[in-house]
Amino acid sequence: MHPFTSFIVAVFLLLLIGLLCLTTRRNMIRLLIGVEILFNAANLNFIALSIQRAGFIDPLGQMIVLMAIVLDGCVVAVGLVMTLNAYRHYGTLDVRKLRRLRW
Amino acid sequence: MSQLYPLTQILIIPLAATPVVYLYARKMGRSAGYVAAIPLAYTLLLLLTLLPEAAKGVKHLESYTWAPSIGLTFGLLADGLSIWMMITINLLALLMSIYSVRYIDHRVKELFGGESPSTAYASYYALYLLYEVGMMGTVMSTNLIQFYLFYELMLVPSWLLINNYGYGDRERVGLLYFLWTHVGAVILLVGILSTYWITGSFEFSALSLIAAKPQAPFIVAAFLIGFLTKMAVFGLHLWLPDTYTQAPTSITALLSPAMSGIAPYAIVRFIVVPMYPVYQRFQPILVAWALITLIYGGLMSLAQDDVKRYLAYSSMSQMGYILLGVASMSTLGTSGAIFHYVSHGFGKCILFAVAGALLYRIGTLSISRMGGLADRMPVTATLTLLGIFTIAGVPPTSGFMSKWMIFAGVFDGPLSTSLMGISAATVILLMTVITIAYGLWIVKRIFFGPLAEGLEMVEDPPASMEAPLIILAVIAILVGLYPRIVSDCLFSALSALHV
Amino acid sequence: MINIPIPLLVLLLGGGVLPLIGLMAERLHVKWLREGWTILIQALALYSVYPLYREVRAAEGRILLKYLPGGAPPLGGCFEIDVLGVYMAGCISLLALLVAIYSTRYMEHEGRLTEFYTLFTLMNAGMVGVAMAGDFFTLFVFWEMMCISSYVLVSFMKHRPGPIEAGFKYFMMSATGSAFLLLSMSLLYGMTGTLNFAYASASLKAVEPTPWLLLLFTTLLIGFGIKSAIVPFHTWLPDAHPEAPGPISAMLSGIVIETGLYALTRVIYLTFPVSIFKPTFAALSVVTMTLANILALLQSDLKRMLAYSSISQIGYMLVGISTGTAYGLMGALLHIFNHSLMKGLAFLCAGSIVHQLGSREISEMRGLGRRMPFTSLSLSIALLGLGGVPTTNGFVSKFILFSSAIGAGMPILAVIGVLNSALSMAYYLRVIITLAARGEASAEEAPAIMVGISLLMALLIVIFGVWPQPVIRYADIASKCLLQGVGRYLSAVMGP
Repeated sequence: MHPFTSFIVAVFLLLLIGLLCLTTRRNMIRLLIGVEILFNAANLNFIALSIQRAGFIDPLGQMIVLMAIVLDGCVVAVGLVMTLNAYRHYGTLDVRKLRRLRW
Repeated sequence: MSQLYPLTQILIIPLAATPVVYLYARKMGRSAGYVAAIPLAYTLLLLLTLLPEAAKGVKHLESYTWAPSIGLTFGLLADGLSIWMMITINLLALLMSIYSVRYIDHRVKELFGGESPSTAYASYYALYLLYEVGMMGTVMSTNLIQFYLFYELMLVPSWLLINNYGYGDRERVGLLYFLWTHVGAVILLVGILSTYWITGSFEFSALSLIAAKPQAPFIVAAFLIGFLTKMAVFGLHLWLPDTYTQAPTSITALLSPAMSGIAPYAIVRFIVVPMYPVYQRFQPILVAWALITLIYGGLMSLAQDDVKRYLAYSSMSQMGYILLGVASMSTLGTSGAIFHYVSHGFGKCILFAVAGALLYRIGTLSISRMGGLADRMPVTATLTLLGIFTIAGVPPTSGFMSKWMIFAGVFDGPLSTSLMGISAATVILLMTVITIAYGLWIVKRIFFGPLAEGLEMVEDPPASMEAPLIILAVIAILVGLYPRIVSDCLFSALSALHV
Repeated sequence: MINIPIPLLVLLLGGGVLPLIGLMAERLHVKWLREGWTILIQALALYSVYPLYREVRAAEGRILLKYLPGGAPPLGGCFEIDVLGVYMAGCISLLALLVAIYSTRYMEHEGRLTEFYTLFTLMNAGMVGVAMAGDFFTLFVFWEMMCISSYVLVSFMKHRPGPIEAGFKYFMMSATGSAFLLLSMSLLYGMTGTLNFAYASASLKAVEPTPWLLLLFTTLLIGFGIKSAIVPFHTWLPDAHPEAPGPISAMLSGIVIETGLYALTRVIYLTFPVSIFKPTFAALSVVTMTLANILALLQSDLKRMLAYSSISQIGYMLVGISTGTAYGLMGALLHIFNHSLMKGLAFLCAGSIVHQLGSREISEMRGLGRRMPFTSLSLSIALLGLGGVPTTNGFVSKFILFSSAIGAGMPILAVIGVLNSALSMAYYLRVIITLAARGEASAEEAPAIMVGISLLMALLIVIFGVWPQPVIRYADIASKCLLQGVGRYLSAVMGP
């Protein structure tokens, strides 16, 4: 078995968990966490793939992951502000209550 | 003349006059109709100077580059086939703009009450000129995209005119009109785009290259659906009765005779001339379709009480004649179809304008509430009779010559040998009798018999509404007495068809 | 010297300085300082596109390479600018300049204007960066810059619940899209060991489709598709675009979703052979056009209707992209430019109407044509253009798009396209009829600047409709860059 196969399996599991979280959860914070999990799946994939050639660790993948985490932080910050504002208007964190706009 | 670019002027001058007329109408109100007539009179003169050349079979072409990267040129063409179309459209537009002065004044006052806004006149005449430019451009085009451009360009102003100045539930009717003809037009567009990928060009002259290709029947079918929708043949006519009835009368007088008739012209130009062999395969369908349209329109018009609705169905039946002429596949019949476009233009324009005059004086179009008006409106009665004669083809009007040419074409052409041809000929002869019968019957109900109640004080419409119609009637008779000025042009352009 | 293309540099620096300028304006009470600065920045960006174009034309193989500090490809980031990138930058800057001028009056009574203009400038910087990026990671950074700015701009009116709700929906969908994008990047990295487009293209273009490649394609499609509102991923758009402030709606619908489509096209064309994505794109375009047009018919809210119309226009662009020919791509690129003018104008006019009338319901706009004649006229021209009526630029690009479908042997697609186009007239006309009708709506004509911008754009629509040659010329060169210039693109980076 290739050394990074286990990582790839983990990536797929994370992806699955993230998508499940996005589709089944109602709480806004949990939805944000779902997005986070998806981002981290991608990051893990980078790291896993950067060691695919034996005896050589590619700096490119690692570098990109560092930058991606920064970007990720910005995204989540905006998401949290959004959630905060939504809570102010609706008094709840339940996304099902955000129903003012139709399809 | 050729160094003066007359065709470009014919297109540009009314277009350039649009803002002038708009601003004039903002200041001066209804008299803008006379101002709008000035550029139209000038372009009519230009057209008449081109007439002698066209009669000899000379083509007058002006072309410019437009968007070379996608194979577009901008060309303007006047030849024997199109010159009389252009003259008819221009003449009708000129006369109707004078007619509109009083008529649209009446309509605007009806719509807005006492203090009618000057913008209403301004936008009417601006749209009117744009509509005229659209129709002229369609007839003058030399390439398919340019044709489509003007074909749609005449749709938008006419729709707005119906939408803003029409009667009844004009918004629904306008939408119906726009969507029907627009769907027809986009199907036409598919045909046009397909030709580009076969010939690599949008020029009319390249259309003949398609004839031998396997895709040709599909392209011809797409073209036909597009044009027959505009022509409102049976089955594709659902938009027609409401539109013609509810449109302002001065616009109906252009919609019916001038605009619908561009479709048969385009069939001749796009299909009959360049793709004769392919077209032959469609002939039986078209003949049958023309006959159904003719009969249906004729019978439906018998049942109408509203004058404009009666005229609308009668237009449909006349379009059946024109289509039959086109479907006859002979020089004589095709020329007759275009000729009949011209005489139908004169006749139907008079009749719709008379309907507008009745509306102007009496305020109703219901035939059952009229009667005995000949004493009170002698000029109108005479004009109506002349209009009916022109449409039904009674000598010496031009309608007689054009119908005679269609019949001769049907008997003379490839149709005459088949059973279908014989039956078609029988049917159209019968229908001609019916046409004149219902025409005269209408005249009797409106103008003769005892005077209907409440119409004692009615009199002829004002001179500015009558004069244009009298001019039209005189021209119709002159062309009827001396038909060669029309037929020479057509024969010179279509002689190649002769089989 | 910082090695960044000039328009991008202008926008980034301008956007970076804007908070200071804003602070100065507030402390010193100088009116119009930040507005003036924003307009200046946008004008400079637009102006500097032309020297960049000259530079690109002069460069070897007509591709300009600019390495970022940190090393050359395949490891370091770079900008790889061809005529296509310049074309997109031109479209973006033109619309941004017009919208910036418009928003000076539209937004003048709002608070937090410094933030607004900063975000606006940074969003444009992000888009220009996306248009010029030469590797996937640079693209991603600018992509996120554009996305994050637009999230905040959509919910800028945070005192109302609508924008917050729409913003949250937009944020969730778009952030998921970004995550998928990152995932697709990692897959691309895993397969090729690089993120540079040229290197990736060289190692993937000729490869037989494998499940991994298919996975890459799917993740790319989801990632970019969400941003460009291709139908199964469109649900955020009809909420987010109407709820945003008027000028931002114009930017979002006019160019942001097209930037998403541009990025999708760029990546897909570089890394996959046409035969893989052609059927998928054709199917997506049919679904996108049809569904969006049907849903648009049902709307009673003007901005919402325009938002659905944007989705259907994306469908038309997909027709051109799915053909895989230079002609079809030219149509799509031309439509991107034309649509940015038309939809930008439509949303700006809708913004003016909302600004003056205070309502977005179409039924309440009866008689507005007499009260706001210039705005109504511009809106009518924009709507007719969107419907594809000749003499507007919308007709030119639509006819090229449908024509290209026939040329690529997909006449059914063309027929569906034109029928959709005819159907779409129904809802455009409904608005025009309402405006032209007589009614009670009481509102005054919008301020002069807003009307001026609207009329200018309406004029441009007609001018480019009657005389499309100049834009067609650039779109033509740009489309050939994407299709035939791949070889040049590779050799520019990797050496001959």
